[in-house]
Parts: sequence; structure tokens; C-alpha cells
Amino acid sequence: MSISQGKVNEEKQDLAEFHDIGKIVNWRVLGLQRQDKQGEWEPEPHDFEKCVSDDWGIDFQSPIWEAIFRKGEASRGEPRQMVALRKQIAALRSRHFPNSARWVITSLADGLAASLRRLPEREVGGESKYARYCLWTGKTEQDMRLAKVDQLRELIAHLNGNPAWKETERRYLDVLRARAECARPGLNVSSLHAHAALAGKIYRILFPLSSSIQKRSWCAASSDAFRTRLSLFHVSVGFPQEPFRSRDLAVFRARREALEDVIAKFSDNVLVSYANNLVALFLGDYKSPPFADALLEKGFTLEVVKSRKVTLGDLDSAGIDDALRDIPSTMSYPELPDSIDPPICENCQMASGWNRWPTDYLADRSDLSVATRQRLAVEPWGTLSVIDFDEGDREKMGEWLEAWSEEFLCDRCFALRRNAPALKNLARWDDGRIAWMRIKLNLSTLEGVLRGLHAAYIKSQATRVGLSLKDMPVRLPLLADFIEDYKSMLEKWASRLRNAFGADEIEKIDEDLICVKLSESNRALQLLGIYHKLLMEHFPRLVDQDLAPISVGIVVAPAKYPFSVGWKLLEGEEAPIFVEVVGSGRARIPPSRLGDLLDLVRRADRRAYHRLREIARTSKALAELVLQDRDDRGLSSLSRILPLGLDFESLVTIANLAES
Amino acid sequence: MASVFLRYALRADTLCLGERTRGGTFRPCSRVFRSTTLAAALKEVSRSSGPVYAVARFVPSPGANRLEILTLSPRHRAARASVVPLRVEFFTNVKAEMFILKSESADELPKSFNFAMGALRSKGFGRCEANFVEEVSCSVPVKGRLCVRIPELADMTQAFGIRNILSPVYGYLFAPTGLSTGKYVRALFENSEVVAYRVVLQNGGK
Repeated sequence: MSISQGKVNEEKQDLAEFHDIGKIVNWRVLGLQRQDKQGEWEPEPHDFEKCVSDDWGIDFQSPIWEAIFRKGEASRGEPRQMVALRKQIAALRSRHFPNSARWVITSLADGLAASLRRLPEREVGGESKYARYCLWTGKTEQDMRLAKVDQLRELIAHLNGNPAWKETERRYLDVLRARAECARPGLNVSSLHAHAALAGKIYRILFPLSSSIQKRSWCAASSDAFRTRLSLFHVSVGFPQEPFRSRDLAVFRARREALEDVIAKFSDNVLVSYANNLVALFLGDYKSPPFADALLEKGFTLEVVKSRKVTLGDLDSAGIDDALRDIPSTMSYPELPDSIDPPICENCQMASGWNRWPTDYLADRSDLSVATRQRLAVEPWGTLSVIDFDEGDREKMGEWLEAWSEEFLCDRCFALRRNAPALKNLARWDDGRIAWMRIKLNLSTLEGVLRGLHAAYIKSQATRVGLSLKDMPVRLPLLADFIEDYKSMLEKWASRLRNAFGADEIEKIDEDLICVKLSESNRALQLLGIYHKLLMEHFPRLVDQDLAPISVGIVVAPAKYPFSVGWKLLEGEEAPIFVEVVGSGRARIPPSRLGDLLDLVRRADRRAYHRLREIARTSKALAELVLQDRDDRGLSSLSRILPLGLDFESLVTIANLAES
Repeated sequence: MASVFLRYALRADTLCLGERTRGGTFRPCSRVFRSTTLAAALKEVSRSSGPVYAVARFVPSPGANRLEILTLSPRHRAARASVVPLRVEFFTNVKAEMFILKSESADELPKSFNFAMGALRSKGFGRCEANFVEEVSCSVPVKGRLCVRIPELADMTQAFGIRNILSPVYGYLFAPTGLSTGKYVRALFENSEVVAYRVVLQNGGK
């Protein structure tokens, strides 16, 4: 048997990911989980405690078995047979992995990555539910566990080969996602996959402890380790630039690349990431995350949304999410001088703007003649005209002179603009209307919403846990599952916009921000339709919630409208669904009524929209009055939109959009 | 020791708190007041040579403080030609309240007065009317988010009782150093989380 990870550094090894891998097996169907005389099932033997005989062929050369055989201490009240088995496991581990602390670190990581507080089976009661119930879809996955002896033998052989986690994911991803981490009824809400991946990361973060902790027993080891200090951060990475030119939108790409660098370099510490947010854990006391300087040096701002220095023991009992609750945010900036002599950078307004755009950029281009470049270097941009240049350069320079006035930029903004990849579609949209569409996730709101959904689910299960744990904290694996689904929705969103509008008519600026060219303004309603469909597919249970963790903003504006103004709207607006039609108004729509609204808008009479718009132009009060006119069927159909939770301005904005 | 602020009701038909021109053609309007703009404008009214410390915030009211855009085509005087049209954002029907730190300079201000503030004054923008309402005493700084922009200078922070800067939002404001010279000084922008007198905080620090 080859041990494929043999050469990997011990501290970097995929190990704790496998600690619960036995949960993907249906032990009951295989006849390895039995009932006692009273008909009670013994605990599921997912730690392979029923596979220790030579017949199963476990190869202890593979270090993965130390993580799986981490338990060796029987729980209180376990059947005598199980106690004997556990003793056998502890003996096996001591024999095959003497002096190793990997099992201790795995157990610590398991606790921190747990989706729920550990509850003994009899405290919860009820029939085990092995398939994951998804709180935001309201659907239960299929039970896909391995139910054949051959499959179990294959799994053991796979683990004997000391595989990488990625390889294991490739083979067992579906079942890892479908199997709940905790099978207690009501608590089967997060996936084994999220729990395992987080446990693996935390194991590697905690690995340096392995040389200093007691290894004799779990009690001795954990009391040592629980005093260890950890630092936990939720950060949001921003930028000071206010992009106006399409070239300046390169700052989004630069930020994405900087984030990807951080995620690659701190792949274990970054537990969860989405859009420009990172949740990261570090061993030791840190005032700011160790990756902060790298981001600040690149000119980005860092909002530490929440941070906490905490002992491992406290984190183990509170949970990572609870530890981050109610912490105020702080902002960090790149180094800022007390004062700046003019000119200031026109883009970020945070540094001296000694570079002239486009003058200095063009003066550096080898495709222009030396004479042209020399002239650019000395003459002020505002005084230049096409005839000042060599004949061969005139056409090119004419385009630049027409499109640009001179701007002063700092080194960073100048470099961003100079190296910006061409946003080919956006750059050629000179007229007509475009829509900026952004889908946002708010983690704090999400925690509250998931807590409510979980409480309702526990109640529906009518188990003992429902009585004792009405308000279960939302822990990291549940958020990780959600974020995975959120990212998948964003990918689908981009692809559906491409299909609906055509690849030439959309520009993807960031994973959560897309610009769409609208052949007609009313196609913005199509954007809402696509969003509504995605929401119903991926997060139907969120639609009826009072608070919306996922929100969407659409700004419909003339093609030349400054992006930074629209961006401020997209950043600042907190309504779950809002549409700003520049020059027309703003509509705020409750998610629960979006479907009905789109349906009514589709069916309503276009002439009624036109009339309402024209009346509202003269007097909004009069428009509100005529909406009550029951004899006018057109307007009366529009008035049905108002009870859907829209205010009058929202209705007029939607009417404007639909009619235009 | 408590600081006393003079509260004035501030009205204007139009007001352009212009940010720096962006992309050469668009001049956005700041959504909040800058203490430097107010101080410079009030200095012209006050006959005292001492500094004036003032802040202001918009008062929500139906139909008030609406943003509009004006397209201008300024002329290049030397070339005698129109340059690229400039679109300028401005507020209409401005309703705000202004707080001026009571001091020797502030005492020179009448109970009601008119003054001009902001950009495009030569086009008639920014003609403000201020009417005294009451004296407001502030003794205990409270935690909240700034609703104005204030330079991070010792005299400024002291005037507005800014004790702790919990989570700053930084930017730069222009500070004149002479008739035709000046520099940009680091400033606390709106939404900075601070401990300060409630006159500079959103919703009065409530």
C-alpha cells in the first residue's frame, strides 16, 4: 500500500478532515450497529471501532487512523461492550502512534469546528436523522451513505493510502455534503463536509501546540491546551478610491487578487471567505490580523468588523460565532500623512497627485513618436490640440484629447489605471442606459435569521432538545454551508445574465457586482426576475424573513453616469431589494412580494404606467388620488401593487421603469 | 466644563457642497457639511479675527434637501471657447441646523443673518439664511457616528469634544494657508465612530 502523503510536512498534513469520515457509512444497514434487548440502538460505531479486527485490513502506517481513533475514553453510561471496544482503540492508538499528539490536536479542532454543542444521544432522544436538513431551502438531502460492505472496504483501503483531502472530496463529495455532521433530530442542519474541512484547517492552526501538551489522557491534554490564546477576526477589505473612469474599476480586480493572495498564504487561518470578507483564526495574541500589513501596503483599507482575543477553552464552549458577537468594528488605513500639499490625487484623495493622466502615461508609450512624447512631457494637456503632434500620431492623440481631461493621480492610482485590463464592453457603452447590479451578504443578519429558522426546525422535530435548546447558536460550519450556496448562486447569476443579455452586453466587475447594458430601461425588470428566480431556487426560506441577509441593489443610469455615485448607493442602501433609476426615483421592494410584483407588472396595462407617470410629474398627490379611481381599470390594476408593501415613490419608479 | 453652542436654523434655496471634480466632468455634492466650509463662510460674517467653530446637519423633512444636477458649460476665458460641459450636483430647498461654538467670534454674529457658502456662489447658489433658535449646552461627550467632516486638528477636536476616535473614516479637507495657498489636512469624515459632543453626531448621538 502506498502512503501518498508521506512526504508532506507533518504540520501541513490533511489529517483532522478525516476524523469523522466513518459517518459516511451506514453502519446499521451493514449490521455493525446493533440493538440491545430493549430494542435500543447502540451508538453508531463511526469511529471504525467495529473494524479493528485484522479481517478489515486497517493499515496503521497511515497517520489518518490516529485522527479517527482519537477517542479512547468511554462516555458515561455506555454499554459495557462499547467500553471494552474503546479501551481496545486507545490501546491500538498507543501502540501504533506512541508519543504522538495528533489525536489531541484533532479532538481540539473537532470541538472548535463543531456545529453544535455536543449532546449525548439520550439527552436529545428521537430517531437519528443522518441526512442534512437545509435551513434555507427547507429540504432534506437524500441519505447517500455507503451501505455495502464492499464500499466500506474500499473506504478503508482509501484511508490506508493516506490520501489528500482534495482526493477524498473528489471521491465522496456528494455523500459528505448530504450527511449531517450531527444526526440528532433537529440538529442535523450542517454538513459533514463543512465540519470536516474546518476541523482540518483548525488542526493545522493548532498543530504547534503538539510539542507542548500532555499526551497521556484527554483530560490532561485539554486542560493544558484550553489555556492557549487565540485571535479571531472578521475583516472586510475596502479601498479609498472613488472610481469614475472604467479604467479605475481595475481596483476591484486588484482587491480580488490581493484577497486571493491572502487566502492562498493563510489558507488554513482563513476559515471562511466571501466577497471582500474574511473570517480568520490565529494562534497567539494579535492586535490585528497578520495579513493586515500586506493589504494596507497595497493601499487597501481594512475594516476589522469584529475581533476577539480569547482562550481556546472559552472558544470551545462559546463557539467561534458567539465569540465574535457584539464587537464594534474598527477601520485601518494605509499610512496617512497629517497633511498633503496640492495637488491631491483626484481618485483616492489620500495622497499627493504628482502623476498627470493621461499626459505622463502617453509620454511613456513607445508607439508614439519621440516628438509627440517630448511635447506631452512639457506642455500642459489643456493647451494641446491635434495639430501639435506628428501626423502619424494625430488620429490616436485626437481620441485621447477628446476623451480625457487632465487628472492628477498618486502613484498607486496611476499604476492601477495604467495597468488596468481593458473592460472592453463597458468602455464602448457611450450612450443609452446601463444597470449596475450588486448582490450582498450580511453575515450579522444571517446569524440572526439562521438562529430563527433553526429554532423553528427544532420545534418541528418535537424532541427533547426542542424543549431544552430553543435558541441554538449558529456556528461556523452552518455559515460555511450557507456561504458555499451563496457563492454558487453568484456564479449562476453571472451565467444567467450572460445568457439573457448576451456576453457582449454584460461586464463582470467583481464576483458580486455586474454591469449590464440595457437596450431598453424596462429590461431592468428582467434583472429583478432573474434575481427572484435564483432566490427561490437557492434560498426560498429566506424570502419570508423580516430581515434579509442577502440583498440586491440595481442602479439604472445613463452610460456616462459616474460609477462612484452609483457605487455609493449600492454600498450604502440597506433595503433587501432596491432599484434606483437615476433621474426618476427609487423603489424598495420587500423580498416576499417580489414575485407578485413582477407578475402584476407584467400583466398591467402599459398605458396605465404612462398615465400614472405623467400625472405624477405634475403632482404626486394627484397621482395618489387617481390610483383610487375604481372606474379606471388600468390604474386600478396598478393600485394593487401598493398593498404589496411598496410606498408610492417605489410604485412610480417601477411604473417609470416598466413604461420606458 | 460645559461647552455652549448657538443653534441656528439654516435655510437655502440651493446649496452646492462641491466635492472635487471627478473625471473632469462631474462634480458631486457632499452629503454632509464640512466644518471648514462653514468656518470660512461664517468668518466673513463675524467681525472678529478669531476662529469660528461650526458644524451643521441636514434636517429630514418632506420635500427638503433634494439632490439635483445642473449642467454647466463653463467658458475658457483665454481661448474664448466653451470647455467640456460640467455636471454639478446640488441640494435644493435646504433645511438644516447649524451649531456654532459660543466664543468671542461667535458673539459677533447677529440673531439672524444671511451669508453665502459652498460652490457656484457666482451663479447664485449657496445663499443661506440663519436664524438663532437656542443655546445648547454640551458637557458629556457620548459615543456615536459623526454627521459632519472635521479636520483632525487639536483645536477642532477640542471644540467639538472629540475625546476618543473609536473607528475613524479618514479623508482630507482643504485648509487655506493664505489668499491663494493651502494644503489638505487629514480629517474625520462622516460615519467615523467617536466619543464627542452630540452636536456632531448622527441623530444627536441618540
